[in-house]
Amino acid sequence: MTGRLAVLVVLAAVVAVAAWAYRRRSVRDGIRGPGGLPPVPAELLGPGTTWVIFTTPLCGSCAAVEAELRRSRPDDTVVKVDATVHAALAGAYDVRRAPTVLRAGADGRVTERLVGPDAVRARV
Amino acid sequence: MTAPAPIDPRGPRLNQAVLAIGLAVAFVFELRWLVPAFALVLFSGAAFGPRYSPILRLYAELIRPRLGPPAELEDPRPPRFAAAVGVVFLVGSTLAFLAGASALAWVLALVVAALAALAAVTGICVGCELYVAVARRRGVELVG
Repeated sequence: MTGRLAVLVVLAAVVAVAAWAYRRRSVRDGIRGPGGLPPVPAELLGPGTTWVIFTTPLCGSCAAVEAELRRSRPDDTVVKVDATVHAALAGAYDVRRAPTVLRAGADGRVTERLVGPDAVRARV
Repeated sequence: MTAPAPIDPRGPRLNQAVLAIGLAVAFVFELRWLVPAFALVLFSGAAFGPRYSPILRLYAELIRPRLGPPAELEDPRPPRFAAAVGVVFLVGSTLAFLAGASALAWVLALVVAALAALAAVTGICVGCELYVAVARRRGVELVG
């Protein structure tokens, strides 16, 4: 039984290392943020700050998030992108759930990536 | 095809935790019968939905009512796919036991245990990630 417990300990260590590496990469990506994501395509950008909302047709909270952004940031540009139609673009920003919101400067550089309605509300 | 209703992600997390602990116990105490038993448990949820999974049912009826609402919901299809992958591995493990290949059988079972532990503790669900990647390529819309 001792041998089997040792196997389990090794396995647990492997799982822990994998989890640590994943978290580390996530944190690094979070810190890197802007550099880790490609710039927002020029055709989506407004003159100043642009918020890109990745939505899906059945997303229940996306309309509220859009309204909240337009209300709280009247001077910014808010654009919606259907992630199911523009799958390649959504993939470039690792969109896994709707809404995922990008904040970009006039040069297209992504400065924030928010996932879920609560993250957007907390931000704006 | 109609998108399914999003689910409380804590249900699959409990499922994964029970699976990881159960398979680890099976390995340490040489309880081979637990492997097909867990294959059956996973299969019931993967094939017929959360209502038919004993662990997810336990969570929904006994645990969830005592907890607050989840911070976020998730699409049920990725964890269901991950469970289906787990079933394949555990069925393979069971067949390996029947064929007398105990070492291979335990390797397959421990792969499931390790991935389940990873998902339960950190939320990193490898099977779910596979589903998401394929779904995105095929244009399947995820809910949550």
